[in-house]
Amino acid sequence: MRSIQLVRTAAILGLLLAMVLVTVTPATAIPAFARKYATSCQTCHIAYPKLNAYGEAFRLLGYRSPGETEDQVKQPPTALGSDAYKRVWPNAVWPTTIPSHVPIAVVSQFLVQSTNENDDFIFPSEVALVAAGTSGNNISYFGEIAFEQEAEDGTFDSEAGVEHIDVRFIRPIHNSLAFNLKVGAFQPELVQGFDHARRLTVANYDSMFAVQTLAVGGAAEVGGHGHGSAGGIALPAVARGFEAYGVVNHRFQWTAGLVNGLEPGQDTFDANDRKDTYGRVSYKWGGLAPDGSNADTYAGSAKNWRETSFELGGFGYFGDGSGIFVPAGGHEDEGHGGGSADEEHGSVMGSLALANTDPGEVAPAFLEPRDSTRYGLDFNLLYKDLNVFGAYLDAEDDLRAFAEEEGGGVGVPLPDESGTFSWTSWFLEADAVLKYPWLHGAVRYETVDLAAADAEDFERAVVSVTGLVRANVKTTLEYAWRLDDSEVENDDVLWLNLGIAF
Amino acid sequence: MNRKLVSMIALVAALAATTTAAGAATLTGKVTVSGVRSNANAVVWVEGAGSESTSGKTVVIDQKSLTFFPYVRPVQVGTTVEFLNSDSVSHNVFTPDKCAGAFNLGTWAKGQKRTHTFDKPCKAVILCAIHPEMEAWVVAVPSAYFAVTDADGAFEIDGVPEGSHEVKAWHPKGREASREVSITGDTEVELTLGG
Repeated sequence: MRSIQLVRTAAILGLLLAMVLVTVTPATAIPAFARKYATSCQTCHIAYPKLNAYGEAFRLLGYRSPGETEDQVKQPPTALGSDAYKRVWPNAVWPTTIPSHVPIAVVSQFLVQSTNENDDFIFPSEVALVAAGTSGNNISYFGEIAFEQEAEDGTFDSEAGVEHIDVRFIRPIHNSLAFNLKVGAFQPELVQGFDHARRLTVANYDSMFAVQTLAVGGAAEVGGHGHGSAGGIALPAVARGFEAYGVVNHRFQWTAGLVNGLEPGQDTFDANDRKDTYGRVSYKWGGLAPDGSNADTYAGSAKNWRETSFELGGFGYFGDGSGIFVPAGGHEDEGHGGGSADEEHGSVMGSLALANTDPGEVAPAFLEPRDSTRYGLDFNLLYKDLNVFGAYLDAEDDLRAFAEEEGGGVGVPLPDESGTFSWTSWFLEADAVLKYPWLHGAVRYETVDLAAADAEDFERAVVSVTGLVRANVKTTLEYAWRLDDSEVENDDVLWLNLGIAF
Repeated sequence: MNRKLVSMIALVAALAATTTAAGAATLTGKVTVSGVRSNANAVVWVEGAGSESTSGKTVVIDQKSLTFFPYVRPVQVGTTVEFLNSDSVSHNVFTPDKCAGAFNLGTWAKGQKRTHTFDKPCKAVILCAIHPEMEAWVVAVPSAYFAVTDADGAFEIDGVPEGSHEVKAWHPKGREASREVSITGDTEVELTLGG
């Protein structure tokens, strides 16, 4: 079907666009915890922001150490009420604590980016204020405000805003980790196996987060195209809504989320009155239990990045874009209006629609992404100094095409132009500690198959070396090159990144 | 004659003093509380060693700079505690602990005091309804022989009757321990709470 061809082409362009945009390096190192516990970043990180098994347990426990005792916390918190007030409740407010020092850290990146056309000093590529901590035994929070700059075809783009902010209710029922609740704008546990915010490389997992079969006009400001959610249907690098998650029997993890999908709308934060849902389950064999419950008996290794374990996860994401009509506008000189003035997003579809419409035929002016489903598997293998992990995604988008009515609104449906668009993607990465604890390597292969029966449309390889100058200062030298028959310029990129967190 | 009498009296007095000293011992030691920042404020007491009359006996807990002083006050059962307000703001004193009668002494201003007699064994948390962060403990024990540990966890209890007694310890973080100790002369004991 021609419409499928149009969408496929647009998806490629959307992917390439997103690939450049989402290479902003992650910022979820939290030096505030180094201060709280008077400990090095290496307690929880292999090379920040990548976590070791202990750090993963710490994160899952709501930023608390497994079996945490008072003496481990070197910055005593400020009590908002004596602990004994728990016995006075409900005749008093339940007591809690807040950090005695404001738990804010600064994370900054400086990126040298070299392509065929440009050599850019993107200084800084990111400056972020990261805050995370606990309030009492059952409440935790995480937030990040960031300023980011990106380079594309010799021009800079920058944005600033709240990237993440969430509140977590940890063990609210009978002090069990089986059920926890997260509310806000957060990195979902859906993508825990390949969380973009805790990756070792500069390059993001574009095969997971940057495949845009559809882009919403004007969505650049919310969600942040620097985080893979370039306004459209992709796995959410940042989700806004509610997420329930838990650990059962120490090693089985589950997640379920109810979130905004395509966003934003004209005057609303969510473009329609439907919500997207997702779920993930996983099991870990060997090593430190995800909830850290065996931390006191697990011998582990003096090299705290090492363990022998295997984790397997399965996930699904179900998007509902009913009632959202992505405009094809941006070519006003050709009489096509539409809501989008942002050529990076909505008008990609419009441009292709115009270019590929035969004379006399009605071109699709709007697309409605009625149903989007993604199913996937992910795995994580740790063995000595090696970490091999990856994910596979199987996706399907039900797209309905509409003409434009007189006056510029959504017109009649075009059944012949509508259809279901299927695609798959996967990546495989191997990270390794290269002899010294301060030297790390990563190799990744990823691909997106926009039509399963055809040759792969997107292939990329990434090779990266990271050196920890200090626990909180790192440099990364990385090369990402396209392996497919890409006709896009600047598709091979060399990065030299300097990062500092304090 | 007088010199002889004086000498005899002195000898008898010396013998009496020696006899008394021979029946009492000093118990010292160290308390280690696992998982907490400090070993201070643990209460150690000796049970089964007898008690003294507490009639008219009063001790003070003061309120100053939005803090109870001392943080932990051990008393023999039957002792009256005076809660004094030396602060420039009003304070309240209450406890939710039923072993102390879950009392609420109300609110009073600077210079005033209210009292409560702890007539049962109890570890009662003392709170202020106006300032929820304020906290103290009154530990009423059936013994006249008790002490509070210092920052190093060390304690000393004088005049403990010799013999085999149960030595108990308690910390505000809820840890407890006890040991049967044979106390003769200067005796040292170590106790570990929790862990």
